Amino acid sequence: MVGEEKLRRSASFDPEFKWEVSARPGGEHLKTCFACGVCTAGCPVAEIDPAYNPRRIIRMVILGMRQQVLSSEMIWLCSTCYTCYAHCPQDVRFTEIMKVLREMAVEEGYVHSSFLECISRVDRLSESLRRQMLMEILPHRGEGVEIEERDLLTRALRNLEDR
Amino acid sequence: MVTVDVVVLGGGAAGLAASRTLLGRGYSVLLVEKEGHTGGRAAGYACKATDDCQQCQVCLVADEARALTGADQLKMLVFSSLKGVQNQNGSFQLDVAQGPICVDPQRCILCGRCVDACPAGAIRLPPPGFPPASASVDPEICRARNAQTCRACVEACPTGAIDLQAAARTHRVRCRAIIVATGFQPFDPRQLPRLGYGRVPGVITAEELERRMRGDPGGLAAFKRVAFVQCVGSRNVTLGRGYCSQVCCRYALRLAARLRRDDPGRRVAIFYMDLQVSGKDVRMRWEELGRGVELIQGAPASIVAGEAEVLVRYEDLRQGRVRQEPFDLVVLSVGMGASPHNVELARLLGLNLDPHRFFATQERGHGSTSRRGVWVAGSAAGPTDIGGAIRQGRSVALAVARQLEDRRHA
Repeated sequence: MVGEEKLRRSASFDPEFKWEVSARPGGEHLKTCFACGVCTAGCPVAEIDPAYNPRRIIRMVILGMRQQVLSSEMIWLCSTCYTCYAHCPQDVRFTEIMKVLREMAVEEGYVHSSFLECISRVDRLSESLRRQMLMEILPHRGEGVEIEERDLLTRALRNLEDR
Repeated sequence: MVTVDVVVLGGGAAGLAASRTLLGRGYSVLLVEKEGHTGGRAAGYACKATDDCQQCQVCLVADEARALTGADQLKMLVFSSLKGVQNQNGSFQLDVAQGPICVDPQRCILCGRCVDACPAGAIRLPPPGFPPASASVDPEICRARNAQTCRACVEACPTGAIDLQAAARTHRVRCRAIIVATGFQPFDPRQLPRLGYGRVPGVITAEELERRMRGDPGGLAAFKRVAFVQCVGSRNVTLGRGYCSQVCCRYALRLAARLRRDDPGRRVAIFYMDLQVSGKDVRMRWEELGRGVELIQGAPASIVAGEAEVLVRYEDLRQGRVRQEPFDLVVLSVGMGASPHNVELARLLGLNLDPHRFFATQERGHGSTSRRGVWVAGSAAGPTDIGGAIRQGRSVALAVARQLEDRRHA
C-alpha cells in the first residue's frame, strides 16, 4: 500500500491514455468498467500473487497512469485464461485490454520487441509442463494419489528434456 | 358470454390496485389470474418490520386485496390465462382459458384438511386476505402424480367442496379496456453457475428468504452468518440485463435489518457493486437499516461449499485483496426480469416489447400502449417496487376510467 501511495504521488497523468487504449481493437469496452472487482476475485494469477490486480490495472489506465502501467511488470503476468472476461458484468473484455497494453508497451519502447516472443515461449513451456505433470498422475486417476508437486515438476522437466 | 367494462390481467399488486380503483368508480371488472389466488409474488413476502415498520410495503398488497371483498361488480377467474383477442369496433372479445376449478369457493371453509391429506402437495390455501377465499388444487401437479385414483382430499373435506373431475373451460368475455398487470419473473441464478445456486447447499434467492421468513422465521435461527450478494442478474450487460432492477438494494437492506433484529448476534454482510438506494423511504432510514450490517464493496466471483459452510470469494476493494469468507447462508439478490409469457401476450394483444421484453409503454409510468384500449401497469412494464406497482395500477385505472367516460359521452 505504501508503494502504491508513492506511485500515486509521483504519477504523471495522461488523460489521452484511456482514449488511446479504447481506440484499439480489444480496448473498446475499457471505460464501461464500474470496478466491481469480480475480475480480480476470480483471477488465478491474483490467487498466487496478491499484488496482481486486474481491477486496479483498469483503474490506472482510466486515470491516465500511462508510464506506470506500460512499464509495470504486472501487464506481463496475465495468463490469458479469460476467466475475468467471462465473469465481467460490463463485458469489459480485460484479457483483450491486456493484449493492447502489451502491444503499446512494445511500441513505446518499455520492453524489447523480442519480449512478446519470449512470453509466448514461456507460455508454451508452462503448458507443456502442466501437460507432463498431468500425464504423470493421470494413470493413477482411479486410485487415491498423494501428490508431491515438486517431485512431479522434477519428473516432468526430466521427461520434457528426454523427448 | 361475460360482459364487463375492464379486464385486468394479473392479480398482483398492480392488478389489485387497478381493480380496486375501477370498482370504486362504478366500473365492472374481470380479474384474470394465472395462479389459484390473487396477491402475486408479494403475497409470499415477509413483513420486514424490526421494532419499527421498515416500509417494505408488502402489507399494502393485502390491503388492496381486502378492499375487493364483497365488490359485486367484480368477477374473478383463477388458474386462467388469455388465449385469444378480437377487436370489435373499439371493444374487445377475449377467450380466457381456465384450468379445472376443483374446489367450490362457496363451500370451502379454509380448514386446510385437504392440504394435509394431499400426497402430492398440489393443494394450497390462499395467503390470508387474498381472494378467492378457497383452497385450490393445482391441476397439473394433482393429475401428473395421481392420475384418477387418489381421492384423499375429497375424503378429507368436511363440506364436500372438492370435485376432482372438474373440467377445464374457456370463457368468452366482452370488454372495453384491458389492463396488463402480469408482473415480472425473478432472474434464475442457475444462469450464473459460479454463484453456486442449485449446487451449493445454503445458497438461496432473496425471494426464497422472503418465503422462509414469512412462513417459519424460527427456522432461520441456525444461520449465524448471512451474506447477501447484490446485482445477481441485474446490471449485467454480458447477460443482456444491463438495467438496474431498482428494488434489490432496498429489499436486501430491509431483510438484513430484520435478520439482525431477530438475532442481534448474527453477522449480516451485503456484497455490492454500488448501492442504489434512491427514494426517500430508504434514504431517511439509512442509518437504522444499515446498523450492524456490514456493507462490503466487491462483487463475489465464486460461491463454493466449504466443510459445513458456504465460502464467498471476492475482492475487498478497500484493501485491494482477494478474500474468501465463510457464511452459513448466502442470499442472492436476484433482479427482476420480464415474464416469459410476455412474448405470447404481446402477440395476442398487438403490443410492443422493449429490448428487455417488458411491455413498451408510451410514457414511463403512464401505462398507455400503442394499442388503444390496452394499458400496462406495474412490473410488466419494467422493474418497480410494490408501492410503485400500486401507484401505477391506480393511475392507469384512472386513465382507463377517463377514456371510458369520454366514450360514454361521445
